[in-house]
Amino acid sequence: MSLLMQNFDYHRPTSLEDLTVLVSDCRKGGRAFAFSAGGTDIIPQLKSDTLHPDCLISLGGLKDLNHIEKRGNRLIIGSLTTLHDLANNDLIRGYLPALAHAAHKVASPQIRNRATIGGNIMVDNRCIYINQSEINRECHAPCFKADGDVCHLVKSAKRGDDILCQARFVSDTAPILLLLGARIAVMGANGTREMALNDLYLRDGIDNRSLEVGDIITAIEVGIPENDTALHYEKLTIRNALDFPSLGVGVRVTDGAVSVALTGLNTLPGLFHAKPGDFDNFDDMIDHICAEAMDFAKTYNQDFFPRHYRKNMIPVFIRRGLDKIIKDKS
Amino acid sequence: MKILTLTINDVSHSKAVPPTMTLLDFLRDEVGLTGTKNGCDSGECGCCTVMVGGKPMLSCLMLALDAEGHEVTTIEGIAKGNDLHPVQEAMVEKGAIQCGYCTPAMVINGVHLLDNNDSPTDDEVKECISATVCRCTGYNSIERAIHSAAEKMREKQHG
Repeated sequence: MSLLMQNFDYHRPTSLEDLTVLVSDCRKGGRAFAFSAGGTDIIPQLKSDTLHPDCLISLGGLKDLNHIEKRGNRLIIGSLTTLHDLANNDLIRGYLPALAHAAHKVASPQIRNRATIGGNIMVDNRCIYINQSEINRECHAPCFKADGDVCHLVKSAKRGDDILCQARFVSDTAPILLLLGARIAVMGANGTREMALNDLYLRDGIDNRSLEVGDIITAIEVGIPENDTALHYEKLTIRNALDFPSLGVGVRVTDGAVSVALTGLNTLPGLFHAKPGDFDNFDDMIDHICAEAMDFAKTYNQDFFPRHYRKNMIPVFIRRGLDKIIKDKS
Repeated sequence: MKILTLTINDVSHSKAVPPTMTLLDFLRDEVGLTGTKNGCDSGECGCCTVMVGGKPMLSCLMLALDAEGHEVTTIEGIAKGNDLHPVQEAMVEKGAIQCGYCTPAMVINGVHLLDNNDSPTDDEVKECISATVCRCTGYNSIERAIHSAAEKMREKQHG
């Protein structure tokens, strides 16, 4: 017997024009809708009843959004490119090996065959109290993310607070994309616009993306870094073959300057930069950036690793990423 | 309800399905192909792996309607009549089957790996079965079976 989903209407547009019409019809009819790309994160939410749309719009039929191409010194990645294709694409492996590696670190081989890069940067924030079966969830009072009135991590939280929900940001590909200064093309009711990926992410675990209802990401654009740049992504998980990151660290070194991007440690990704001129020596610079990263991390007990362990692993993983970059260079 | 037409193991099936039905339930309950197993129903155990468009995917994390237009291959479509696939043969020979619940998924993963790579390394074999949970064998016998199947397939190919 399988977990049952609440009933919804299903649509599978085959062109962006059809999609626009469909979205506008749903809007006019006052019907709540959800988009599904690969569906590997949406379907568990439908099964555990944390998401209950009137209408599910499957994006799988939009073949035009599945491509990777090089334009000048930039790579354009269609948002429906699967993580498997991204990790194994010659252009990505050649120009952005760290992105191929990060895509390969997402979930399992079967999920990467289905899940998309657009879905991965949009993956909903997670918390141990909400992302579980409905039966288990019923052991607790419903939290804010489940339309309830309590946060089980921050008991003093109340409606009206700046940050209501502490659900973690868990995309594996976002840190490397942010370190590469990725931009995204977003199609909405008023046409297509472009924005920095960094501007997509908001501070609250529930209202965690800056897109309007009905917006979809059509492409991700990434500049090819110069030869003096190297990147690496390191991830801590319980089960390497499957799990979301308990913490993920992207490291970028460009001509001595170091940048670090974090995932899994706060409601949104963290991004920090340090230039060698501002510090006495390299070790001081790394100590500084590690301290900043640890400061940023809000490690509540919402993961299978104890909170202090996760926090203390941040500098370890930053240094591990740097070591890998230095080792690869020499 | 929508009418779904799907080619499964080279046979076309047309059924009326609700949008909420997963590919897994469609295969097991509508088409009667119960070789594909339902383990966790949430993408964690890998038991429900089938090939969709030639790639292993989790049928519990996929709506049946989303599979439209893709060929689906389940464990029932791997053997040709009474002739087992080399991966299946090797699983029997190497004692890689105990309770059998993960076996269909392990076979699908192994077949896909060897279709694309006739001499996989240890790491590649491990990765290919990494997301399918087996609670009996301890995985070693399954890895040995896939290596042994690779050898058989190479021998067959090179005569």
